[in-house]
Amino acid sequence: MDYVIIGGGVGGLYTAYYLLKEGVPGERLHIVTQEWPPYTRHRLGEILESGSPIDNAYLGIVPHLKRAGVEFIISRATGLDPSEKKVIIDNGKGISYDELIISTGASPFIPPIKGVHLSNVSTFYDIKALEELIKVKKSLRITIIGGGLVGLAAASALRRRGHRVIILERLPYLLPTVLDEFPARILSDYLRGEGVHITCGEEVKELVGGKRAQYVRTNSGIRGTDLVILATGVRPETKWLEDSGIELGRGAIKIDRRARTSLSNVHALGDAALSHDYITGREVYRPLGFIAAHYAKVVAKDLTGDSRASKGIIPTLYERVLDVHIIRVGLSMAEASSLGLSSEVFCDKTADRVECWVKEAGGAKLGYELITKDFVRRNKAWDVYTDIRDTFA
Amino acid sequence: MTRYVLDVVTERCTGCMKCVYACSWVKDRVLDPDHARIKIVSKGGIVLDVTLCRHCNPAPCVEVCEFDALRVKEDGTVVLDENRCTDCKACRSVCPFGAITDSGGGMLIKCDLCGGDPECVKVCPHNALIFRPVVSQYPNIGGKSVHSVRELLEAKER
Ligand SMILES: Cc1cc2nc3c(=O)[nH]c(=O)nc-3n(C[C@H](O)[C@H](O)[C@H](O)COP(=O)(O)OP(=O)(O)OC[C@H]3O[C@@H](n4cnc5c(N)ncnc54)[C@H](O)[C@@H]3O)c2cc1C
Repeated sequence: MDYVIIGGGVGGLYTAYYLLKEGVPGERLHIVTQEWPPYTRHRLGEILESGSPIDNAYLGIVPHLKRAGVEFIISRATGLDPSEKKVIIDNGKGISYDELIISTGASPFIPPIKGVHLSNVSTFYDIKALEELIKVKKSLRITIIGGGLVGLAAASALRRRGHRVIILERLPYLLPTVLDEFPARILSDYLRGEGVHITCGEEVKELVGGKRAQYVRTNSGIRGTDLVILATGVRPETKWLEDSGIELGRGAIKIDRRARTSLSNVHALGDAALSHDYITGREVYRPLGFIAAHYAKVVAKDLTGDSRASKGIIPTLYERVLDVHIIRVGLSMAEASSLGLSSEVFCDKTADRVECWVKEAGGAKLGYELITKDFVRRNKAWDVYTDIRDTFA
Repeated sequence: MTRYVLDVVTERCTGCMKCVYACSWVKDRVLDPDHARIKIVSKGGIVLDVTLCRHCNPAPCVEVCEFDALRVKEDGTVVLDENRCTDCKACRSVCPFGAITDSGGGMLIKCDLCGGDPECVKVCPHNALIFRPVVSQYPNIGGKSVHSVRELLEAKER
């Protein structure tokens, strides 16, 4: 029995890790990946910020997988033929599988505006982008388009490196997929206090310049810039599956509670796939590393005879931006509402922190949000997590 | 197997930082608070809290770690396997004590009780850190045995 894994990011590698743990021999595992060595994106911001070695990003389980005999095929998958049970790779060759696991992740979304291909416009998504930004020594005016987790990770690092950073967010507040408006506004206040410029509710229309972008034009004005970072979200990396007949939803691979796809002998996980929300059971697209790892375990178990269904994900997010800590557990009011739940958010604010509880009309806790400049000690995230876990079990 | 807990008597802590430097030295061979698994939280010279892992059981961090990087050892110590950790930070979102921290570059660290012989306890001149065998399996705070993370938090808040 040969297991072929496409994608050497956290989803792919931890699937191999868990398959080994379940007793599958390493020689039966083949990982096709276009990037080498495999790394975690989760440390890109911290490495840029602290100037620590890029090696910190390399995944520590790789030596273990190699010792176990796992094969790494450095190549790009370009197509899937499910009737022949074959994956086509970029040299035209086919790789046969008994079981296929797809974890090709996502790629940065590039907004359809003029100027995004100018030479000083980049994303913050991979080692290459990290290396480029490390090279920038003199202090620049950097415009970050998008105030999500990736935009803020870049902002934190670049501000610490001495750049003048401005974040442009199209929606009315920062971290719109993570936080509700009140805590997000407090977060903005804190970050402004640390010298980050933040403009919400402005949409970028064009990057203006000859070879390099010199100005950013929005719906309300024009600003000078030396460098632009696009942090406008990601899209599932599923184009290569177009002719395979695999079922997609919003561009991501649809999976069931065992991470099985619509094709037999094909599982999928991570940023390439949808996942399930614990509270509502609904399908969601949440490109997060711990979700990829959750399903890596689900896939490995399903393939080795333990076909228990995943109960889905209770989000557990932590991010530090400069000296501000951000925690979100469960749902925000905004995400709850997008999943069809009506709720209210109750916040408690002191000088150095704001703490919010999201509650359903009936009183059940759905989520928790914390923004603090203080230590994160004595937070109530675990309380809320266990409430959610037990109430919606 | 005897289990041990590390109790903190915050009132006795003067903020001298000996434990912090001893920890970072023993663990990472540097004298740098960022590398210490124990933190002293103070404001204007007043010690507000000493943060370190309370080795909860069951442990929130262990429950949410999807990377198999956190586990409770037989002796009750909650340990982090740095090779398996990818820095997804889920553990940091649920730790009630802020006891999992970043030593720089996204390398997460936490107290492992020095494998049963904690250096911080040895260097503390004020007996603010007490390492003792567990009689009941639960930590003792202010003379009360504490049975869950929630009780632990309440006890600390008093
Ligand atoms: C800056 C940044 C910070 C982040 N921080 C966090 C965090 O703190 N916590 C958290 O939980 N999540 C975080 N995330 C999200 C997290 O990185 C992703 O959710 C996670 O990497 C998803 O894993 P994956 O295996 O699905 O995809 P990836 O890790 O992206 O791996 C996919 C791999 O497949 C390869 N690939 C793609 N297509 C092909 C093909 N056709 N053939 C062969 N190989 C292919 C890719 O090159 C890549 O190596 C962060 C993301 C970014 C960008």
